[in-house]
Amino acid sequence: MNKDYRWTVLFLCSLVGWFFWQEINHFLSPVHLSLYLGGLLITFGILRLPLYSGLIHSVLIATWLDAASPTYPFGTGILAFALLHLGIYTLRRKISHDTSAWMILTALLVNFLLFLFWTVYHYPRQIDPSGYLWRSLVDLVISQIATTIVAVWFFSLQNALLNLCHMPLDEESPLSP
Amino acid sequence: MPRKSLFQRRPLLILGIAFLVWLLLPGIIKTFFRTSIIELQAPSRQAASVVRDVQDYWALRSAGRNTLLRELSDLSRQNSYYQLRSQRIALLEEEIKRWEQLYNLPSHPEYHFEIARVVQRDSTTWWQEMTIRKGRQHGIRKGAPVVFAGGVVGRVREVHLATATVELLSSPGLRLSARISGEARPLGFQGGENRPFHPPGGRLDFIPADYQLPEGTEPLVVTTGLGGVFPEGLVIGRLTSLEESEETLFQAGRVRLDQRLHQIREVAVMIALEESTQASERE
Amino acid sequence: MRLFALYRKSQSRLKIFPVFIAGMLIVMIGGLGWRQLLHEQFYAEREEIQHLRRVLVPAPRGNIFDREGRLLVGNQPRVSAIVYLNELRPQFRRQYIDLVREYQEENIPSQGHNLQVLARATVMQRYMDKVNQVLGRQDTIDARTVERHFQQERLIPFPLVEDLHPREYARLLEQLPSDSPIQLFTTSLRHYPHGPLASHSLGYTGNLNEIPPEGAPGETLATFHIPGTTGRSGLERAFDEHLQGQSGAMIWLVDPSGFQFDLVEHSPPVPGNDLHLTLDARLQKIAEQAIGDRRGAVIALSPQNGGILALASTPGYDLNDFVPRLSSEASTRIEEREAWLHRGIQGLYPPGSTFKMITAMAALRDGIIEPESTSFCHGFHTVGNRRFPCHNRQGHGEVDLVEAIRVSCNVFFYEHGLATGVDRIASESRRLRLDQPTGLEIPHESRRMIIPDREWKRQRLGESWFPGDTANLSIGQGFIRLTPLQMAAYTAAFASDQSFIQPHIIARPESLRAVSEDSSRALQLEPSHREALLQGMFEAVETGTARFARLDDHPVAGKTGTAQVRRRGETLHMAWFIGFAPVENPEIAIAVLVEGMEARDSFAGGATAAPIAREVLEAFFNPEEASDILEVSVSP
Repeated sequence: MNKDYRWTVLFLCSLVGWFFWQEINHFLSPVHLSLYLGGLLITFGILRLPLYSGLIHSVLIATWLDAASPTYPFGTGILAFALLHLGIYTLRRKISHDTSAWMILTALLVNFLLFLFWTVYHYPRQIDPSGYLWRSLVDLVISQIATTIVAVWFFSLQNALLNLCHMPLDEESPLSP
Repeated sequence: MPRKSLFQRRPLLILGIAFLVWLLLPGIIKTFFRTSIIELQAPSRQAASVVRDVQDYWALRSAGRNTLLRELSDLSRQNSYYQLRSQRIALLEEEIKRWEQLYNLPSHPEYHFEIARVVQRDSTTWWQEMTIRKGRQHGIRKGAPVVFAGGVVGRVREVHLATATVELLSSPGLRLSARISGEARPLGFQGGENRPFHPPGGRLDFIPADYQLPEGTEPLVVTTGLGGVFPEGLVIGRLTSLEESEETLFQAGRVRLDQRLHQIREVAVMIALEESTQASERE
Repeated sequence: MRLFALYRKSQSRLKIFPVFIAGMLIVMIGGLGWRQLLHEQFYAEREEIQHLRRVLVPAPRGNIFDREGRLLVGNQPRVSAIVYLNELRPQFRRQYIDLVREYQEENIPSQGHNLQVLARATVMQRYMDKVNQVLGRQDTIDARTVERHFQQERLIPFPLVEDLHPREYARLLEQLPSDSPIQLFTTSLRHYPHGPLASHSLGYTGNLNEIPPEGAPGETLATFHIPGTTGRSGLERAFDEHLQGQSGAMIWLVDPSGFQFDLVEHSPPVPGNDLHLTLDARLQKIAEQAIGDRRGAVIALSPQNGGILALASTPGYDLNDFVPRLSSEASTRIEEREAWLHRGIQGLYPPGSTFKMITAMAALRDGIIEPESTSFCHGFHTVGNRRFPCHNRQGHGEVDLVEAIRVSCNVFFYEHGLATGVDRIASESRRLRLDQPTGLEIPHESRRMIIPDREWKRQRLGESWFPGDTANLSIGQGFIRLTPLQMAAYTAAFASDQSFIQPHIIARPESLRAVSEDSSRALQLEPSHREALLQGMFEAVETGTARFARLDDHPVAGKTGTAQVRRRGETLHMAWFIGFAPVENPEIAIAVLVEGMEARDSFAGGATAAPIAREVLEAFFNPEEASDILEVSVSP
């Protein structure tokens, strides 16, 4: 485990993903829409890396996102991401996980759960609850659509980068602790 | 089968311990950690902004010469108009100063405007803010009011070395003292309406129960200058409707903010002159 | 099984045990069932009482408007910076732990409770410091106040700073984060845009710590009150119930420590109902200005329906001084100026010559005199061996009724009053209902008016009635005491040819308006007799004693009076004017009284009271005149 540095490659790849995600949001802001793709960034790590390697990746992504978020204490996202990582990780052994379809479904589920968590977390401070829920719903729908569209490419990119860095995924053992 | 380590046998326990350690970690370490990450993120945001500028540049390069000439002549016309206005304003300011001295009135605080490019707009469901390409090294201070041609943009929330984040007027975290144009009473404005495909909005509280919206008009909502952060008379938005709140003493009103709020490319950060001279003295 | 075998083998006497245990079980199950099924409601209620608390929030009181819809009494918000103790509990706990550690480290002995009190006060002071920092104040928290609030009113917000100036709350609003535990809390306070205008009639309110929980849900629950206000005088008191509105109630499910856990029910307060008065604020202001610094009353009303147009009593007081509470200095100031008395409805004065109209009416009604009857005035009239003077010592010569009213000749009324007799004069006064309060809606109208007669004097003073008493009564002097409101009501009634007209000040809702069973009775005076009285009053204004009340455009009928009262060894002059206009189809009736406070106040009806009446009448007939008199300056 100590020699597994695949999370570094995944993290760099996720930063590229984050960069584009932020750019899209920049251009969506005039129409008051935004994407949330946090789930997409961590899904590959959950499903294809060993527990701790993947967890480090998820925690790093969460830390990166938390730093720029103004509304909650630094660390809240880390906890949420880590718990979700563990939750999904324990489930992954019970079901087939190496098909693309399953990976997309997982990404959608993770993204949905994270989105739900933040929506509930921010609800009490809203002055226009109905508007907030409507906006959340629209954002969730477009986020899920975007995740569905981008996921296959993004996972392939992560896979390709790992291969490029001579850190291929081990098909047999590393998936289970 | 290889022997499992503690990390592998008790993942939840380890997470719990990590969480506890995080909780007990002194705030200063967390702040340092967080600030470092933001400073790490800054170059990528700036790079994106520069790329956008380059895109704009090439878009202009590809425009026809006639279009550019037309734009240029429009601009020079506007320029001369604003020069005239600027002279007039200078005269009026002199006049105001003279009256203030005559009546021993406390003079209005003067501001220096620091113009900054918008690096990134971050208008999500949960917060509305933007990152600007000016920071501590340009004299930007936390809490400084930020304005644009359409009025108030928001308030500086965080200042970093070369960037700063501005909490937008449409964010539920931003409250300021406002008044309806033509009325004296200070009211409370709070942002927070961000419906998709609609202009951003906010709520005006503490409107006296006997206030009636003049029919067919949407009065301007402006800052009062009483709150100590924003100077007086900056446009916030327009009061579009009133709704009775449960308190019965007051009504609440909906304010429509400027449609351009989430499209801004350039803003001006207001730095009180007193503050900036004090800062330079300290330096 | 062995146990049962043992049991089977045992003596039959032991069989009583299972029967006993079975019986006990039946009783237990029965009891349980009885409690669970039959008494379920009772226990559910008990549980509710133990776990639910009610917070009553006062409703804003209704507004009071004048006849033109101008606001006379309204509400203004009172903004306070508050914190809810509930939200600070984790901080209280943390502070307590820190304090315990600190005390232990320094080996200082201390009781846990004291440290808890200290911890709470420290946390509150921290928030107070935040407010101080924004507002530039240096307020401190009193630990005992925090503790009392914590123990007794923990569901109610704790006020850090009360009564914030708009500038202050603007600063807090802008400089405190929107999710700060320090919140701005508003309650309603009475606001009087015109300050002292009609102060006695409108009345003031006082603090009420226990709001009557009328109609609010959760009657059986332990209740906390956010203090409200109640009417203490004037219309505020008389129509307190109407103006009060219905308190809002919040029913909280509380945790074992008695703190808010969940809001179970919330009924918002229903604002009080408005009152619309017949009062004309502009006329009221003009009346008050016309009296100026003098003590007195001006009452104007409509002879057509009895609606009060102005009801001024001076000196008054600024009603805004009572908000939020009257300071002792302000109270002393009011006391020293004797301003508490509503002179219009509570002040009792001899009506002086204005009463001559009633003497004349009594004499005419009983045929003692005819309009043509005359008297010769030498400047005095002798009754027994006592001379009763006329105000014109040289005498008016021969005067008839019209002339006697015009010049206000005492001798004419001595002579014919004596012929009429006290019984008829008193009976005429009672016919005009001058022996009882008018029944105006404003509380505490005086009931101690005096229409003296033989019986009254015998009972009150144990003396017989003398002709001299009748002579005095004939010109409104002596024992007789009436309120300015009574004189105004009588004038309005006479103007509309009635014996009584019910004065009222409430325009809407009509159900609250004062009504009298015999509110409208014909005066039943022969037309020629009434004509003569009217002629006398008209000429009094045109060329007689009341000429300072004359208007150029509208004929006015009026009568002046100057009564003398002995008070503290001094003879004080009370100047009266009663009148109405126009003479035909009158639209306004008025009574003016100016009270002399010292012997050197040489007040007289013609010179003092009539000009005041003139100002009010002129303003009434020229509505555009001084229309900006009520402009209120609004400052933030």
